[in-house]
Amino acid sequence: MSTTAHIDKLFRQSYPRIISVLLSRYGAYHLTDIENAVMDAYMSAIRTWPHRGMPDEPQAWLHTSAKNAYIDIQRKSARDQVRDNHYHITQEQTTVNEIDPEDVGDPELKLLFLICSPHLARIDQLAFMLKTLSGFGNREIAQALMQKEETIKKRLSRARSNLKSKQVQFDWPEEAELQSRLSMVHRALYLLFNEGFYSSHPEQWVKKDLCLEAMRLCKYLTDHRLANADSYALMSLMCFHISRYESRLDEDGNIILLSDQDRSHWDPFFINLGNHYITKSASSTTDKSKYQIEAYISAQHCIAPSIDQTNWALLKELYKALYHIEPQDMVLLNLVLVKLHLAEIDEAKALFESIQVDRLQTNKSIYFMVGVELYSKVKDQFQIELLLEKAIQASDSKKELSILQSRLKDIQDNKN
Amino acid sequence: MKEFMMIFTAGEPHYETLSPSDMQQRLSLWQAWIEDLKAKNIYVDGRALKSQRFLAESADGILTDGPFVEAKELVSGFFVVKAVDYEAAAEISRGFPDYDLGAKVMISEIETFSDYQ
Repeated sequence: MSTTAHIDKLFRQSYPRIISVLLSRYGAYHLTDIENAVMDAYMSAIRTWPHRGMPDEPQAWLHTSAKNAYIDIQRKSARDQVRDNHYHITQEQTTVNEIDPEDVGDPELKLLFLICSPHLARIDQLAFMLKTLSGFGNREIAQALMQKEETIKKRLSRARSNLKSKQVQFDWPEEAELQSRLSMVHRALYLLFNEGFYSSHPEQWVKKDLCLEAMRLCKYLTDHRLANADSYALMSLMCFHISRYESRLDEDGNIILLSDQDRSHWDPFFINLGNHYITKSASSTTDKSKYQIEAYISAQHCIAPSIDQTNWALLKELYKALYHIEPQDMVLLNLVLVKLHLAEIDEAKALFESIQVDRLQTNKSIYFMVGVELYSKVKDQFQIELLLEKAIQASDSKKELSILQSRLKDIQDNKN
Repeated sequence: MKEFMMIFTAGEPHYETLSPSDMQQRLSLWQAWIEDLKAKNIYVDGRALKSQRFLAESADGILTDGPFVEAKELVSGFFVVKAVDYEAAAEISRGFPDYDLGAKVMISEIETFSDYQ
């Protein structure tokens, strides 16, 4: 069984590589056939490897096998559809070594750019990215994005048919379009990462998997000549965040506030890596982008030895700058916390009261926690009770509900 | 010990619902199954077949292009295993990993010269 152990993730890992290399050879128009060809290759591996043992170079074996399967599929459909046209595909002599070490990451990155094309609906892009670039199955995507498998299937087939009907070429965008596409890639990777970092998914490993996928894809970018200051900042941001991934959730997967997290569990490897990328980002531009500011914010927490020794004054400026670029309530909620640490209680309270909880799509539980933090400082039991009641009405998670209810009961018991 | 041939049909692998990880898991099941039979010294041989079929219907050397049965009924491979009787062979067939794809196993004892001595 030792052979199975070390190729444990071979299929999933080889998937994006084979898909993108075949796409760059045969074009996006043939995506569906290419996907089937890769699965055919896995099926051949299942049927032959157990008898014969593993090939010396399993990746290369799969690659060649997928390419041959693709040619077979094309030949079959040519036979079925254009019998009269003497349509002819010659079997190409296949070589084992298809993988050019010089361009590792290049076809994958090209595919990432293709997925982030304006021809695909934003909502379909994440699912499609996980399918083709992460080798997730429909069920895994549905689980990770917390959507129905049927919905994922629809998204994927819509993405495929859009690529086909709009005749999207598997190639780099035009020079003029390159920068805007790059920022779409950044946004998509950022979304993917956040999907893993902030979602209320019950399975923690599922979420971390999403974060790591976003980082793996982002690394294609930062290793490539196309990377710009934002690419490095995004990578930096992800590194800082992931460094405290485990310590921000308790055993039941509930969010632990920053002040209660055990800093000794933050991973120094990723903090160093985050520093490396933010330095790289800062040296290539003077403008401050959303990703840079977010990376700086995260960095401030990572380098602070304790919650009290955190540079809250700087954080306040950073959050204000961030809100200027991106006026979102989530930023304000963070600003409330910062102001509490700076003992600007009245300002914090005014700010909190200006946020309309109904407008928050997700993160309602964060709103609630910030509120409780705030009203604990001013010892306003009435407001805490009110907030808890509102949170209970808004909650759609059983686990969250039971926590909220027990906290409310505690408060009411204390009063009596 | 007698020898039995197990003939596998392809079934219908719906790629849409299978992920690379699912396939990987299936590979592990196949490997584990064969390793187990080898360890018990009852695995004789096994092969997988490609899906393309040609049919020779006379001595004229002309082949007709297949498949000739429904794709899911196509023979996808075979094992030769050692077992004392059909019951024991049936026991071995329980380890076949592809039933969930609608694939089936046909079991047949191989005739040997010694049967008639």
